Amino acid sequence: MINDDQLKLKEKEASEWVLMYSDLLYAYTAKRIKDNHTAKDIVQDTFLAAWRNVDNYNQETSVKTWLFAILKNKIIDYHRKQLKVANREVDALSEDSLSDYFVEAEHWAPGAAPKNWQVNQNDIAEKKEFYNILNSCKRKLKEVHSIVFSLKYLDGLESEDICKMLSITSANYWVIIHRAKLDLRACLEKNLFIK
Amino acid sequence: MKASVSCKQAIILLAKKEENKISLLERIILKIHLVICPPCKDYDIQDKMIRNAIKTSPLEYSLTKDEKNVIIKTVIEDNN
Repeated sequence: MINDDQLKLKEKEASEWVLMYSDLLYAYTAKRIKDNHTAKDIVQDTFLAAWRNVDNYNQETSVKTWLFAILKNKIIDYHRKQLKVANREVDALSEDSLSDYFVEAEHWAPGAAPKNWQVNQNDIAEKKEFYNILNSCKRKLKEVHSIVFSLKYLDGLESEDICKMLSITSANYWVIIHRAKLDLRACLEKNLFIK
Repeated sequence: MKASVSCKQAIILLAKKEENKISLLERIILKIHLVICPPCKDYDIQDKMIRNAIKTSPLEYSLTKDEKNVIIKTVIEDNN
């Protein structure tokens, strides 16, 4: 039996963990999952799972490392689920010939050709506004595109590992990543210079 | 492979180059295309910039005090 004092102590520890690590976990999740509510739920589920298994917590790793291990698994599970839901969509994607960007002879479609942004790339990347636009453009990507793009460029995974992780074909991967890049770039160009 | 490529093929070659899966011949063909095709050259520059920016984004995310309290409450109640 645990007495009231021990219970109080455990509760205190639980709140300390949340106060100390929830922002870190949320920031990591929000960059990888578009929907904020889902991201928050996953953070909460992580603390729940951690606390249920707190007896198995190995003191040799830090609390942070342990929480992140649980969180990353939950994010991967969520991504897999999304891919399953979008399975038909993924199949249709392999037919995506990017024809809104390229016309016959495969040159850029009128209006789709990248323009010179006429700015110093270093200057623009220092501006917070740029990152805000980048963020909102990334959120406009379809879920599947956003997931693959994040795994590739945020997590730096190899394309082969992404295919294995999400059970998609290499052909699907390439169409998805090209579509994501082209849509993101076009959205940035459209929004960076309106004013 | 032909000595010249379309813009779409050039974009695909750029992605192959990024993954170090490009042959020497393809690399040369791509280089020539980028010299003669300003839109593809711009695409290349901007694509690199976007890839970089995704990693270095300074945007911060945090939970509100209330949201943290909800998590604390949920965890403690689940445990009891």
